[in-house]
Amino acid sequence: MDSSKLAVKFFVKDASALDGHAFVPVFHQWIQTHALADHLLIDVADYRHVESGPGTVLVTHEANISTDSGGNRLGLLYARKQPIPGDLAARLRVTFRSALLAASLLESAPSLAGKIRFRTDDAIFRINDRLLAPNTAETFAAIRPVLEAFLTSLYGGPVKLSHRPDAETVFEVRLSASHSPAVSDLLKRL
Amino acid sequence: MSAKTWKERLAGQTAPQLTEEIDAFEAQIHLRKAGKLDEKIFAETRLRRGAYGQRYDNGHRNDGIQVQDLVYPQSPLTKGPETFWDAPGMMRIKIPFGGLIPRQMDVLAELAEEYSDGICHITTRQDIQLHFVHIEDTPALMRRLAAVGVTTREACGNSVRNVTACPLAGVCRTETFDVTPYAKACAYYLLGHPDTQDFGRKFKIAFSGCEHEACALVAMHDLGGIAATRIVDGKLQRGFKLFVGGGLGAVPHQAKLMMEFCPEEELLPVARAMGRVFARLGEKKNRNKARLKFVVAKLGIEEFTKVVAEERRTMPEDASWRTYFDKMHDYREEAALPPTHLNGAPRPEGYDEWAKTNVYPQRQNGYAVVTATCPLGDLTADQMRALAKLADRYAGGNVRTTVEQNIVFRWVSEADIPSLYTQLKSLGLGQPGAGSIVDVTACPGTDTCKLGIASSRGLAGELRDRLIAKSMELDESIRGLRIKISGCFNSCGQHHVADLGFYGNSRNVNGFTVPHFQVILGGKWLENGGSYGLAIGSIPSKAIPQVVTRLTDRFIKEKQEGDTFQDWSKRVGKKELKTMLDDLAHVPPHAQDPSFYTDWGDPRAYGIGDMAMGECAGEMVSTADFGFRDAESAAFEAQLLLEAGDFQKADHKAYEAMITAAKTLVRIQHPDVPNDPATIVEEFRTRFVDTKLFWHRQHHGQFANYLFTRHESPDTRYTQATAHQVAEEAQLFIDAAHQCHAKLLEQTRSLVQIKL
Repeated sequence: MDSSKLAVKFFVKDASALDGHAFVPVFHQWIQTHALADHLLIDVADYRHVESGPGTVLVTHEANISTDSGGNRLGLLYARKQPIPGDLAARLRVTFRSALLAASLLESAPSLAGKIRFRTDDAIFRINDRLLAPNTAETFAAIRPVLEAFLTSLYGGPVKLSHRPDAETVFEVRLSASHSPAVSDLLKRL
Repeated sequence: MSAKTWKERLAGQTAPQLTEEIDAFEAQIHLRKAGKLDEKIFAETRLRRGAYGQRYDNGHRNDGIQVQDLVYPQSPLTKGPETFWDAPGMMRIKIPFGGLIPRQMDVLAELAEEYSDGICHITTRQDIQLHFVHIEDTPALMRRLAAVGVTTREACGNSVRNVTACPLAGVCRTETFDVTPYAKACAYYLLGHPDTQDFGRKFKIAFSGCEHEACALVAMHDLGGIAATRIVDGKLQRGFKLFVGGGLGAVPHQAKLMMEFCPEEELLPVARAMGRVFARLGEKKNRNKARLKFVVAKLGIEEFTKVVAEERRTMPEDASWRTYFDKMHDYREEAALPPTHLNGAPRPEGYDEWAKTNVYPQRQNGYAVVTATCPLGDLTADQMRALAKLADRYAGGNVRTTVEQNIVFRWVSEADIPSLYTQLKSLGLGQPGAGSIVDVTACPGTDTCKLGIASSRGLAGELRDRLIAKSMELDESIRGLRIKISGCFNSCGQHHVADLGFYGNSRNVNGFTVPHFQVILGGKWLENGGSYGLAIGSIPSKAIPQVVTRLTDRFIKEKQEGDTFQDWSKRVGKKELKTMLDDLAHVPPHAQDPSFYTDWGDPRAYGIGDMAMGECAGEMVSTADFGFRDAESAAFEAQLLLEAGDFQKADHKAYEAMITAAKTLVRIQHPDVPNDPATIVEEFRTRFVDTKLFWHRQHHGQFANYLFTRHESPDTRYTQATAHQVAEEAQLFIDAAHQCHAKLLEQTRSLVQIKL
């Protein structure tokens, strides 16, 4: 599976205290300070008027990073657009590291005053590439060993993977871990 | 083996011509990357394929503190003047008359997810736009669209843009007849037509079924047709009242009546004749004067009409229009379900309020048009997919985008409307107020447009939120008003035809640049955008909500029986309107209220230092430049085929490259040269070789002989050696053609100088 269009979404623990407006200035500030060193941060797109949509999107050359509320659950979605060198394990590592780094920056953003925390025991992994990774049992079978090994190493134990084939949607796997390590702890392991 | 590219996956699923066009575009991407295609030519090429630039693609962005340099990975490679290769761009997808079917909607959703930011945006001209798309993804995106019969060709650039039509066409209660098939025929007949390739600017066409409704806003189009009929020899004849030379922009022009009645069979030839006239007489150097409206204004409508009539009479016959005309009468739409009536059936909560604005009973008894409200014209991939399913289930797949940035379902059986409403509501697309004061429309403005001065979408979102919050209290007399916002004077938000229109500008105040909007009042939406509003004055962006409140409050108080907002604003007068807004024009000092120094939805300190050159006008590139580009492209493809070991195809492609280059030269002297190789070769021989125009100082006629030899006696062994030779010769022939063209240009310049 050669695609680099990998995506991962970590859900917010409690969205009730959050003001949707809060993310726009945070992402603009990240651009000012070049907060993600290995990404070219370009712009902020605001789609809060769209229901269950991408919310606020930080557009970078390498990926879109959004406060996504797809499926009516707020989370941080990191969706890679540009190629990542190396095999699938290497690509997973870059994708998860980038997503966790963005999540960690949000958790520590002064203007959010600690109101945002991510759970890591429940996440979504996607491949936005219907050509190279159709949402089929075959794709799942092909990537499962590498994904499992990667997640086991990241979480320090097995992570349950749930997949439902669907010709319409992009390839998606639900990740369920028995515990919810802090974002910063997961980041240290990458 | 599973496909590695969309080209492989979709092989055989797209029309051969579309495949070839996209192959050629992909080849041009390679050529540009290899430095073998000029950036201006590539820019106009990609524009004509719908791939537009986006804000910050010049590598500069105001981050609120300073203008940052964005160093894109493949810098300094560009995809146009001051447009970096890797900068995200916009893809405009043409949707003629706004007509979509579920399969197409599914693909749009997929593309938004895989190549964009997950959002499909409906434009004010019924297109769909995807933003933040990488140029190298565009060929795959185009192939996937082509496989479901959608093209991006000529969505941008100096070409015939999307042909729009009233979204109610065919089901409207007041129309003369259904204009849909005419809009469709016009769109596809003119698409890529040789007579529409040499414009100095874009050319917009619209069709309306009624004269007195807003319909397709014919009055603001280069060419607009309003359905009309007459009796000839006792028979009803269909035709169009044709208007020309309308347009918005900085100086809006109302279209003028060119033909009181253009019979239906004359529509396509007359449109083509207009294209030829525009190509010949339209300004090519000064893009600010290059729209058709300036030709009409310069000649006067009588003279312009005569010129078009003469062109129609004398232009070479092009029988292909008949194919489109003959198919027109086959156009049919079918409902999914039989007609029914609600008959007092229970309605879900909120239904009645929603139905007042979002349901239109069709001419066909028992059916209605239902509007899905798309805030600011945006919908997610998931929403688009869900709408496709609803369209299948309730509307027989008959869906259209609207110029008010919504989607309408046609042929909905009335008893099904409550159920459809419930489902739209669950998708977040069931808000009431379509086509009312809360349904604010806006162009992209500073969000993504290179020309945007102020945040039209930010303001639209703010006004929408405020108006929705008090929608239950809104006086009946203002509910039907329309608010339209453009990010700059170019009018993409169609502010001139709104009751309350705004366009972005800026003012320097206390040493700061402050976002403002010019207030335009009393435009006429009805009668096809019947008149344009009055400019009242420029107001700081942050004071615009107060402008809306103050004006609507006074209108409610002073409105007389039968008054429209337009009547009222005219009666009050520009001077008084300005006076009543004067205090709102004041910008408080920065220390007192810094919010005035930022724009809506954008916390950055406002600045316009990162604006770039727009691409609305396209690049000034001659047809000869395009011809040579196509020849180069074919020669490049020949090399690829050679490399892949397909020698016969490589030979044919190389020959095609030479024919294209020869035709490009011939067209300079003989624009209507037919497309068959034999004629092209003969014309080329007579006009360029016999006259020694195509003549090398050292090699004399050698390069021309490459073409003649290949044309007259091709080597049919198709070995690597023979194919290689023809491919090499093709490149040399093209180089010689370029030199010949340069020589001709120099001669022309010398003649001009002598005359001067």
